[in-house]
Amino acid sequence: MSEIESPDGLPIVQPTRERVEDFLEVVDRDPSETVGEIPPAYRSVSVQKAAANAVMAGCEASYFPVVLAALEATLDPEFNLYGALATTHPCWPAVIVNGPIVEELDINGGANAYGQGSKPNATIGRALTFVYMNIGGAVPGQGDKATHGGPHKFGLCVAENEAESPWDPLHVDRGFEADDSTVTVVASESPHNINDHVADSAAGVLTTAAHTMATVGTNLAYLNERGEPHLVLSPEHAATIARDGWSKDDVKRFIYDHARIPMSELRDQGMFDEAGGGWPTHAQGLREYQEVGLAAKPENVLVTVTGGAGRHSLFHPSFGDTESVTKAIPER
Amino acid sequence: MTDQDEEILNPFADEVEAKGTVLADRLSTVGDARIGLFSNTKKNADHFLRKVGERLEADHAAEVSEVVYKDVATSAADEAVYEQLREYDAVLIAYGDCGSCSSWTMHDAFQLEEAGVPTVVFCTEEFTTLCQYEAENQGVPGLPIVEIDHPIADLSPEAVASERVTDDVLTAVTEALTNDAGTLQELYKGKYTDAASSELA
Repeated sequence: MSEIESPDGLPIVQPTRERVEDFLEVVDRDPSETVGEIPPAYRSVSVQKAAANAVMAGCEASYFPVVLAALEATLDPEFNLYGALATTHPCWPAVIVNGPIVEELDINGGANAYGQGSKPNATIGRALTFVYMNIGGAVPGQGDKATHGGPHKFGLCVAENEAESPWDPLHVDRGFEADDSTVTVVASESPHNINDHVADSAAGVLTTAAHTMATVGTNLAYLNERGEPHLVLSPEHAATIARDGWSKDDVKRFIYDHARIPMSELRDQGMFDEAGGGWPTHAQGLREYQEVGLAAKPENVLVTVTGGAGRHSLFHPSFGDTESVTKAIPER
Repeated sequence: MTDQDEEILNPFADEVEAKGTVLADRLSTVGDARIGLFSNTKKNADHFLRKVGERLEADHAAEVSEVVYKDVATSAADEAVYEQLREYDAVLIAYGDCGSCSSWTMHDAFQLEEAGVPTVVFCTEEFTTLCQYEAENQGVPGLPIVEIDHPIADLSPEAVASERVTDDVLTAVTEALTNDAGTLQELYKGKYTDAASSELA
């Protein structure tokens, strides 16, 4: 096959047989085994083709088990990959890594984890993007109809900063052992900053977070039956909250209670459909003095701790009609 | 290093052999047919469908249903909704006017076609390429996708009825319901995807 062109506009590594075989060495899988069918074309991706795309994305061979586990996680029906890839909304699968593999691969969960500077962070998500484009046809103008897209669509992968979290990490919350390595995939927008350099209490920090999250235009209000508002706390904000004795469940409950949009804002400022019966679908059944929550139940609020020094946290809004999926990364 | 080591492996989907289509048998006539109206909940979809239904009743004496809704535009309809829609001789679905709602509207149409119910999908011009790409790649080439002007969400119900439910749309619906599967495959072959493919190339 002749030289492959870059799917995303940045230079790529050519998937030569030798390079792809190096990747296949690190997983205990038959290269011809089907990983799944990738929407929107629902075309089959083999382990070998996934490896070829991971090579192209600039991954090291050692990252391939993470890529494969993340790819499989996004194929869980609850994730709604079909909707997430094709939608006009700027979501795309984001990958959160937990467990010992974070240190083994040096995946950044500290300062600037969502930014540049770390090879696994830069390439693992990119490998997924290439599979969706090259196999599934999620190509702009064809199977990907994003109105704007976003920088995270080049690929987003971070680790949770487990060492600096006051609580159990995400994968332990979801029933895995602390020494299991896992990926969690979330169909998310690019994250949005939550600045609080002032509050010195759990309620203070989380009030700032809740107000930054609850906005009329978020998809999480529009499609909130399954939606999971993802709060990415910095270690400093997490420490302030934990100092008051709050558990992660307390954080979720507070965000559930307080990340809410007053009905008056829908009525007076937006999404009020006079001719179509008034309240938008997501607000129907509520009374005028009530508020539209961002999460249908407290457990839907996703809380992770990532980042370095600084009194900023992040809100990582999701597509809404999707559920995050956590999957173990098999050991060899 | 050998030449074989340097060989570039194919990272793209393998070509698959076309297997025909699962398009359901169409109606012999729209007259007296029981037509189901199915809204994916996108704004104005029900206003649009009701107007199309009125025209089918007036022009063809078709028997048209109340609008059936699914829960959310961005996922598949529940099985109970499919079960309800399978009772009709044909179903009209509105509409695709965004990416995920278009995709799941197509999915719903595929389920109905597979169950033997002839289906027509309405889609705004910005999303017909996506819809047809999915029909072609998911084994339902020829599924009739009737194009309407974009946007439609910010129109009044009156404007939806007068500006979007045109004579051309009604003609396309009638053709989509009564032409046989082979004719529809010819009519819709690359209708929206050909132009997009040449732009991507």
